Amino acid sequence: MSGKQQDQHCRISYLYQAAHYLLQHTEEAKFSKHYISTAKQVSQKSVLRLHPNIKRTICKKCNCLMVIGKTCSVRTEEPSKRKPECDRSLWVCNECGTTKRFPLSNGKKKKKEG
Amino acid sequence: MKKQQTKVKLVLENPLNVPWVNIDSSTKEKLTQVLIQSLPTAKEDYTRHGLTIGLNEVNILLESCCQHTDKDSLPRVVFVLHDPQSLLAIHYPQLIANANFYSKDSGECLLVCLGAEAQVGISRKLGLSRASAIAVRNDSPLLSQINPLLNGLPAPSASWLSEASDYQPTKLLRVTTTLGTKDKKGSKKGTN
Repeated sequence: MSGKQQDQHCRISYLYQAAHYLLQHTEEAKFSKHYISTAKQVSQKSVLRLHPNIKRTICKKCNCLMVIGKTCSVRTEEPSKRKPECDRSLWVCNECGTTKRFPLSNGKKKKKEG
Repeated sequence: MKKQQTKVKLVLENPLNVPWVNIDSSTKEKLTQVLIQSLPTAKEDYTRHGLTIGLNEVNILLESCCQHTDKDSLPRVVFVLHDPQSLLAIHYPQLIANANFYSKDSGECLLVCLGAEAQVGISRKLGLSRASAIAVRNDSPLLSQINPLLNGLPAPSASWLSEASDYQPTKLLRVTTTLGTKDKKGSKKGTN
């Protein structure tokens, strides 16, 4: 891994942790949102991958950190009572109202053989 | 068929991740048996036994603990009857760590993952088709039987929530992916 890439990774990690700290210790979330949008720009310009564990904690619309219990709420949806594999998790951002749904199954169809 | 070329990529992992608490399989089995013996069968007895059952109900209870600081609302222990890596239950360590931080004066809430195997027996005892999460209140009569087994278990905690938080080091994962194949015929389409 090149030194420049390593620096960018460290920068994104620092911005993410700083955003968490600002969300805890300031009344408004705009400072935290600014740090998160900067971290996203750095990852896009350097074409760096972020783990889904980081991406799922950021609201796509308003860049707010989704801290469960504070800035976001998590619910379970059951579209079918007969099929528990269709259950999905619903994440709602309390700042802007954006919802994200995560189904249990991958949704990938098996390729036909032959 | 040509072999697909692979490439190793680095992925930045979440530095502020709260892990699940490791529990012995023997302790899990004992807890499962105690719950199956002592849980009530009638729905009317759930509140009398200090129980909150269901993923959504337990989520609402813990989120209200993060918002308000009512001393009585933080549960003593939350049992999760699901695969810990399932998307329905993966948020519980973070949620309980947040609830423990924002309700500091009311003690700590423990998190025990009994797995999907325990769900069948416990749901049958409760008279429900499925029960994926159970929260037990501080004043529940069930605690007299459960507390000896819960002794020594650490509660989920997030060290970065406190004022004197340390900077967490950068975590990188090495992921092997395949390189995209070039479509020689398709790349020349649309050119003048």
